[in-house]
Amino acid sequence: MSKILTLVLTTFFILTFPASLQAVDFNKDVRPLLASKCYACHGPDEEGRKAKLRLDIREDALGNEVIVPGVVEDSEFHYRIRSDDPDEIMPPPESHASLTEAEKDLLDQWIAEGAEYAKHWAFEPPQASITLVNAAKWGNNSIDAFILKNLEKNKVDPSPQADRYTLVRRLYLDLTGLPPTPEQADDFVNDHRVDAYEHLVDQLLASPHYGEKWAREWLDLARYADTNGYEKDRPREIWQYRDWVIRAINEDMPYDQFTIEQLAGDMLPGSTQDQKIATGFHRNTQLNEEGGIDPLEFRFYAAVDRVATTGTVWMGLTTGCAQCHTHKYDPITHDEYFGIMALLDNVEEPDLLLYTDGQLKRQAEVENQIQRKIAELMGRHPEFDSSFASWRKNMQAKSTAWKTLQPTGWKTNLPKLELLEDGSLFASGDFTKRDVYDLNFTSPEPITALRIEALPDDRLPEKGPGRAYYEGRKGLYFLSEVNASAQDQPVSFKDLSQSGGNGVEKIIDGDGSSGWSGAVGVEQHLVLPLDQPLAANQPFSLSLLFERHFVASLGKFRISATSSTQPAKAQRLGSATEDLLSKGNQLSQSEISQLRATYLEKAFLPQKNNGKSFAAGAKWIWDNSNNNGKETLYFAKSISLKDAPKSVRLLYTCDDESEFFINGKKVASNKLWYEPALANVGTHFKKGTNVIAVKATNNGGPGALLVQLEITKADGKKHTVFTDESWEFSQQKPTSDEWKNKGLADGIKAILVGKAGDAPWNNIPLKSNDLSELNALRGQIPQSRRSLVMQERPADNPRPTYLRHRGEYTNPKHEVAPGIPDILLGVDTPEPGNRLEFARWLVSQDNPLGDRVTVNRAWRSLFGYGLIRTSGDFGTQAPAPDHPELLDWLAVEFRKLGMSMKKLHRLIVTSATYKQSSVATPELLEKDPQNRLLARGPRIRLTGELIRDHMLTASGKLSSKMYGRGVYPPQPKTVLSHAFGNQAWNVSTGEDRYRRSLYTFIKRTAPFAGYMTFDGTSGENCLAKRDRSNTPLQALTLLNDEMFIELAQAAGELVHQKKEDPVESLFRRFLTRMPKAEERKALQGYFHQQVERLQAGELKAGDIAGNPRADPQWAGKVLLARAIMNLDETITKP
Amino acid sequence: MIIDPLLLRTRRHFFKDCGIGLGKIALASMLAKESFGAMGNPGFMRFPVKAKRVIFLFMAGAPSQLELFDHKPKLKEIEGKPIPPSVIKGQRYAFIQPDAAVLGPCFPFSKHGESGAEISDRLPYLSKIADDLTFVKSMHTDHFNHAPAQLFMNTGSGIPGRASMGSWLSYGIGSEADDLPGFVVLQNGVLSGGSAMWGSGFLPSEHQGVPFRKGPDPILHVSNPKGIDRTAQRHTLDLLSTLNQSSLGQFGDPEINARIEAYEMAYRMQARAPN
Repeated sequence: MSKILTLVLTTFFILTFPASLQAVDFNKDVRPLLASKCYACHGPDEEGRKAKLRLDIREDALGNEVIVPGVVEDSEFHYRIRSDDPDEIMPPPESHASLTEAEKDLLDQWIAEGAEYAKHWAFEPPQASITLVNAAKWGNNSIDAFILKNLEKNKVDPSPQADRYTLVRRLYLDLTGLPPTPEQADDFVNDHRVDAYEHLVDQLLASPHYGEKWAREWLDLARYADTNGYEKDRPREIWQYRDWVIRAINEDMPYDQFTIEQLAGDMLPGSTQDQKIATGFHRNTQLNEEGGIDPLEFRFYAAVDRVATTGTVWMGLTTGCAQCHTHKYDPITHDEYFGIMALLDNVEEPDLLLYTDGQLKRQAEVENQIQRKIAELMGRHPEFDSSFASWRKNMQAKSTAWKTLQPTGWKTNLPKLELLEDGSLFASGDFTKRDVYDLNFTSPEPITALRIEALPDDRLPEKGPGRAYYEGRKGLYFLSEVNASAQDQPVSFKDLSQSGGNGVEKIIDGDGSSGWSGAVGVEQHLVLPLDQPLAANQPFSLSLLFERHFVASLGKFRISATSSTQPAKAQRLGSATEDLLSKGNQLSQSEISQLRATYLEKAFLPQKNNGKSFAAGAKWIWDNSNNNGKETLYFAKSISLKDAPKSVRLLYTCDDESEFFINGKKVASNKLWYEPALANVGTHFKKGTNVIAVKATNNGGPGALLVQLEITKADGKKHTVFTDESWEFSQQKPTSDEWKNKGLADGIKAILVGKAGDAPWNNIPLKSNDLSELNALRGQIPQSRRSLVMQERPADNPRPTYLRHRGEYTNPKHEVAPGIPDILLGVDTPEPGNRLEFARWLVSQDNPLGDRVTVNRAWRSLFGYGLIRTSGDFGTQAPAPDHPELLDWLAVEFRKLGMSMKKLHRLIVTSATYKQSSVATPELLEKDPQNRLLARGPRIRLTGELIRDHMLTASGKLSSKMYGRGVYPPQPKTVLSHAFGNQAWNVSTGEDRYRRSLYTFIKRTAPFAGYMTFDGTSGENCLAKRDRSNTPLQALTLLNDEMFIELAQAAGELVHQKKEDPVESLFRRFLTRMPKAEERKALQGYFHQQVERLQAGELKAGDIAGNPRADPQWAGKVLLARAIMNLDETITKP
Repeated sequence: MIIDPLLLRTRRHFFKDCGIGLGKIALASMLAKESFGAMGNPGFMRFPVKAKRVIFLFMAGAPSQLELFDHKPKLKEIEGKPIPPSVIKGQRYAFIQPDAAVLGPCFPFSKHGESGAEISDRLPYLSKIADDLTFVKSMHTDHFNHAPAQLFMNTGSGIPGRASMGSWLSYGIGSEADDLPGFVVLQNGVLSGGSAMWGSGFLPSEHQGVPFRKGPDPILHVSNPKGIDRTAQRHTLDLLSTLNQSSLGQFGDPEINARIEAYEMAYRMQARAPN
């Protein structure tokens, strides 16, 4: 009975659904069903598998007669999907994955036809098929042949070509992201060459704005941002990577090279600085800097992100599922997921220090000037030579001869130590919050003291000496404990000393939470005299413990020993100076020069003063006259000037430390009361009211502030401002930075503590200018820039990758070898074994997905939807592509075009398909509402960034400046007010206020509101496709946001000053085309209506135009511009 | 008699008067979404809905549950003793000094209601309705830092970038109310997790939370710019409507219609938003 029923049903099905007159297509019809309804329990995932049955592999499905090919009624599968028994029916009722009758019929038909399986289409290499349509009928290139074939099948005609104004606007917006000016549009419209369009395409592909437009799309994938994310969300320097992307795209770097350099540029033979910068792609992951985190745990999360992003960008697969278990639907096992991670994760993550050629040249120049200045200063003081000689003699007697000890062996908890030629040890690899370096030594001589030098190195964060790279200051170190032992007995120390930093006495207190920490970027050392000398050739061990709530281990250090019997002490002038002194008179000429220079700068000049001090009128002020506590005060004083001054000399000091602001800008700071700050600050003053602000901190004992401002007025007259009782202060930290600009809202009058010269500070002699001349030169040494990069780990220190049970960091299981999923592995091609090989594989023809994903993404950018609509997912769960043959043809063609993105874009935008009008006729809307057939052109709302770029261009404000640090266009203060750390959004001034939106500083925890309202991205995740919502919040932004109002004002003023017809000029600036008669009429009506209200005083012209000089006509044009900016067509690609 | 106007601004007032305009954000974002979206009709009644509304109070910095609902007598037993090594496993944690000791509950707990829920004496009124409350004590996390923990609580992941609870609700069951936004965020103070706590992650971005902000504009840009009065705004919207209608006639793109609606809704929102 059931057999007959089946036959009847099948027949019925065939009759009803003409589509299946053809045989069932496994990939198109069956797999999506099996994948969504069956694989969760009968798929690749072993852990979730029920009844030991797999339906994703044919051999398994045929076992036990679950499926009997060709014989529906013998197949258990058939009965199970049709059973009435809730215990038997599949899928089980509780799965809520029931099959419809039509789906059941389809599966039966598939069995009847032989239950053939096929590899998922996306895992087979793309094949370019030949299209057999008459290209002469319609179309410009092969794309159109595919589209037309499909249109004919569906009995739909293509739309006519869009008019020339639409075309020029569409093309400008698509290729450069900016609208054409009316003149540019007219140029094209009036270009009567047959290939005028192609000329325009080539012109736009060559525009530098092309790179900016397409870089922004790539940065979505790269999850680029300018801050680290998480709570602290501090700024990072990786904008050089953003600039690299722009340049690479403008240079049309072939996509394979573009990929390889970003994933593994550091591994290319002789890799260049640019290729290293490119590896910033995977450094765009977030960095948690919150106190006490486990750095390796968050490193793991970054690695997870890298796998996911790589999967999305180059494989079109959502690999993320396999982080926790074998993928339910796609053939990626849990192990294979970690195989991909292993390919990507064998990396160090340094900050690359970058110098431009100009900087290097300048650096050499300044170094030379410094040498000359040193010679000059020595000459300036006739007593220098004799002073040096006696100092040297004196110091030689006191100095200790140190010998570098090379360890005979070492071990650590995790970091790798490497012995360098100079006997120092360099630490690399992974670090934790509690690192231990155990070192073994044997010295041929007896030892009376040990020296530990912390040494800077360019490879360390901020040059080290420490390994701190998050939370604490970069390059910081924290030596918690030093333990020595010989013959299993502890060796004890006494009279410890430090050349700088704090806490040497705490390295032997047995408490890991206290220790020694010194300055960043310079050498500092400790001297540890032994309680009892160690005998010659006595093996001993030294254990260094670094324990902090962030990574703070030493990155480079050196151990030395002495057998001298006189007391050894750390040397303030540095270990190198002591080593020179201890060599006696056996110094080379250059060593003597070095010693003389050190003496001059560190000892001789600092003792000199110029005999001057603060003037008598200056007064010490504070919040009371006998303060002894630690506190921070906020001082402010207004100074009114009739004209901008000629010059102003600031001399000031504070007990203990302070920062000095003029009109909101920090101009000086000082940290030691006996070293006053001196600066020329004239340029910071302006005509009118000026605000002086000082943030002053007393760390204990007496506290006070002393300021002297010598103002030389424009007319040459002098006038001095001192601290006195008229200054105001606040004990409360002002809630915003405004006090630095506007003064204190509720300041209290300062209390007089004393006059300049009074005890306890007495006269503070000013340093000799000689030293400041030298320091000024040192200040001119160009500072390197930085960029976050990847660096492959050395062969002798690979990072093992472990499978993490359920994807949890805390649950490591067995080690996994690098590799790609089996399903993607070609028969003859070797499996990639490292990052570079993986990158090459991703862009090779062996990766069946790569080219498809890339061309699909390009298609989506231009048409709004991809040929397969899920841009990030080509897996088995993805719907079938709308145009599979075109997708494959494009993928093959892309490779033929040398993987040139520009050629690919050219191919697409020169197709007739692209050039169609985007008018959706009622018939087309009815038949194909989603435009899947592509019988009309794309009509797509611009992204938030492009909307702003559009307004900037049309209002004439767009800056053409490219590259560089992120900038800060205006946005409401409340956007950042909820972000951690009370950071300010200091709105850029001048040109930077009007830069293209891709240069806007991206703060992850409080992304730029104007872009987010239009579905922008915070750079937290790889984003394969932007949503295009349509909300009232967008309306409010376009209508009322200050940044747009400002541009409406600019546009209104522009046409007003140029005396252009406001309606036509503004309309064309924003919409390119000419207004139609009824549009012109409506706009004119609005304009006159507003001008009348302005004239009647109902509206204020000055307020609206943002300019007190504006008259009603002018302001009316601003209102008109604002209205036009809000049209749907303005923010839409036509 | 002192009438503090703030006292009259009750929650009901906020929902009733302030909400009318605002509320339509949600509806707009559901109805006026891109009609061609590949997602079909996201958000709207995907599942049968029983709940009328979900109010989720995330009170970072509030008294610990250990002093309110979650009685831990064991802590009392070991109070004053060093932290058991099994808890810190030799790790260095910020702010935990080596001499740190365990602190037990500071306030007495007692059982309340038929359920016998243990509630501290700091909640004398809440404990009277113990049987009307559900206490979920089965949740736990490995995250102990602010940002990951807050993100985990709101998005199920300690890493920024996942869909938040509110966006899931908006996506999964939507909201049929036309007097409340689908998902709004009222924030007081600074949260470590940042805007990712109400982000939409991989869900369509229209499901992200709409933050109501402090200051003159509870919703960004809800006030007219300087110099533009409500009449001028109305005139502008009339013009936009006329021209957008004409565009709609020409292109037939339903998005244009949605845009017109969105502008009208924005205008009503401006009238209704609290200031």
